[in-house]
Amino acid sequence: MGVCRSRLLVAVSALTLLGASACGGGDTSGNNSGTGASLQMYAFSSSPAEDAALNAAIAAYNKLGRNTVKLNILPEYDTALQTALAGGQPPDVFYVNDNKLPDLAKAGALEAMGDKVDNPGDFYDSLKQSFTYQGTYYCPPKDFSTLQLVYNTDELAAAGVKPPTTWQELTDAAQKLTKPGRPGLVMNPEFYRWGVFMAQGGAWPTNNEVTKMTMDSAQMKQSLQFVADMHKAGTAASAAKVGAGWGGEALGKGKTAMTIEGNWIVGAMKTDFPTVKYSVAELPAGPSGKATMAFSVCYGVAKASKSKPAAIDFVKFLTSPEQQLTFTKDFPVMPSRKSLSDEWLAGKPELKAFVDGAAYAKKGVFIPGFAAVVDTMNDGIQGLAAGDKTVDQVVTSTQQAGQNVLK
Amino acid sequence: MPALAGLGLFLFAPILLALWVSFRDWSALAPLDTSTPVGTGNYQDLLIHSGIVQTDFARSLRNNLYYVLGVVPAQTVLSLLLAVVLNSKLLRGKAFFRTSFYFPSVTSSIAVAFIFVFLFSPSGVVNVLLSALLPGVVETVWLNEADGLIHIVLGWFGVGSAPGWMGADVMGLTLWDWVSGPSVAMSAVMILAIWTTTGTFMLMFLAGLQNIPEELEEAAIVDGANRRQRFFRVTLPLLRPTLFLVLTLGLIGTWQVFDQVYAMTSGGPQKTTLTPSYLIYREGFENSAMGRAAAIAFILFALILAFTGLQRLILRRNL
Repeated sequence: MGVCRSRLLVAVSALTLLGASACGGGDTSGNNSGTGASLQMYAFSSSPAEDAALNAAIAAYNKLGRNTVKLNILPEYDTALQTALAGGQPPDVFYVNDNKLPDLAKAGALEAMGDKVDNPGDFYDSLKQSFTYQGTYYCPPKDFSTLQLVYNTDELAAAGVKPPTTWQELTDAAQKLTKPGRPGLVMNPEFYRWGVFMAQGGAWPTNNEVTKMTMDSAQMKQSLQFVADMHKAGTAASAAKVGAGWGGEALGKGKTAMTIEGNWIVGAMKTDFPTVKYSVAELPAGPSGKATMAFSVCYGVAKASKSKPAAIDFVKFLTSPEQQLTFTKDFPVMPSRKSLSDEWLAGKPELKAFVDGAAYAKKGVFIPGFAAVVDTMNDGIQGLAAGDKTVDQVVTSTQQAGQNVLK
Repeated sequence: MPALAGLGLFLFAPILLALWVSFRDWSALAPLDTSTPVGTGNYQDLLIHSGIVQTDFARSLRNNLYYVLGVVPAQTVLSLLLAVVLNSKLLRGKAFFRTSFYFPSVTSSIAVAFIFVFLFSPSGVVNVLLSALLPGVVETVWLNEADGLIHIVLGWFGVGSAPGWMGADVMGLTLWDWVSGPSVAMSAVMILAIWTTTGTFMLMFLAGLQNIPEELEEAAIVDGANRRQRFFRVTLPLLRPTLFLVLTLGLIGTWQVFDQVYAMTSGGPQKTTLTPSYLIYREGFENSAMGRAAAIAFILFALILAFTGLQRLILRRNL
């Protein structure tokens, strides 16, 4: 028995060592020429349209004969990517959501190759900023979306309401469009929606350098109070309150007349609610003028990739103007290259407001570990929407949570 | 020996590795050798240092405690009741009832969770039923209600906010917050858990009941014991091993609740369905703090051990 036990101990410690050394596999051999490699790509899918566009792009690249790319579209994307990264065998190229960039960059998971694509100056500066961490620009944005006001065209016309251009007009419009049990405006109670009002009111959770929390300001309180008051009056509500999963569903099912959503709503309306007529207008301007939020995804190249030149060649192909135009044609996100906006808009003039948002959009990207702060802020925003928290409580709790992380 | 190797590879090595990770700062976005040692830092952030990490952990403990206090007694009593009914000689169609009671337990918990999301939606069956029974139209958004049950009941008696002495702070939550009771949303999750687990425990009780020799019951009848006496003085003491098993499994299962929360509420509304297990997932995979996630796992482990030990002591003394 004694022998057996010590053998077991040896076996366990050997296995543990094995695990540790297997994790640190920094293989230097591999393909450095940029051709003849077989690459792996991880992506998530927002819609069947994106699936089709991505598959077509990869088929076009494989046809060129330089490298072969194998695509994995994963449902539990973050978890799958993280497992691959932790195991030291990440895919060569993968989608990176902008709010995940700081964490990935800090962990050293990404190759800094943002400027290695053709004509890097053509990309929107604000988007490049989203993928920059501590002065290093890591990966080129694939495309982007902005938030704007999406409304039921017929209903606004019938009520004689024009798309609001100021906060006062928004309050009035929402009031006119509200019927018993049905609010005029529906938006999800989270920072990535309510944030547009913070920006319009001249407030933001942190300063521009993300070194200081700036929740505790008069402007922030004013902005939050404005949105909270609309919820209290019943002219605005969360999607859950009307039994919908998100703003687009509420609009499509006729449970509201207006919502605040991004480009993705176009695809959803087309497939789920093809008969509902809707239009997109710019969000109203607040005390500090127009503002919205932009969301983007980039093509990241793994630092641990064994075929970096080939991976960069592939990303160069994907971000080329022709590919971006093809990719965004049926899948209504916007090309991340400034030079393409007119051509993109020519095919979809009704989406002009989304493009216009690029000029004044804020990014929702902070620092590593900030997700916990956004979580606490969302907790507060849910409380404001439900009417069981005060603006002061939300400001204080978020300010404190942020100070814990920023310190 | 091969069995031991398998055990070592798939059980001990991962546990030891996780224990090691809990003492390190690891984002889990790069291989393990990029992590840095932080000593007991992760445990201190959770238990000692006040801040957002501790507050969230305290919230998850509070939520899960109410969940355990609600689910374990309910599922135990219900399953015992069903088992006694099924075990009675008079019942016809036993196989049918046995199967239908057990059915929820063999259904995928995620699928059941989604059905419950529909049931509790504003236009769902629950509201339709309540609207029919109660005056007026019920439009409660059950899964979006963050108010605690105890707070709601206190509100009926005019206690709407914290009395001064309840403002004291324990692990970042005021005493008032600690006594909130499960939120309405959490209660829906609890009902789901009771519904799905009762069948399994009913089978265990049924097996236990069938192990009790009939002569004992007959002897008790001869001695003039009535039904109630027979159940509490004869049947229940003989079921003690089964009862212990059911309570232990129930306790462990409820402290580990994850999939229902993941599918139904993702920890919301206002963090009232956040549980330690869900927090492990959130910290590890959304906040890139795998070291902290591992530390939560070990604290949870200690907690479950303590609760099981406590329950064993109580059961030994009282029955």
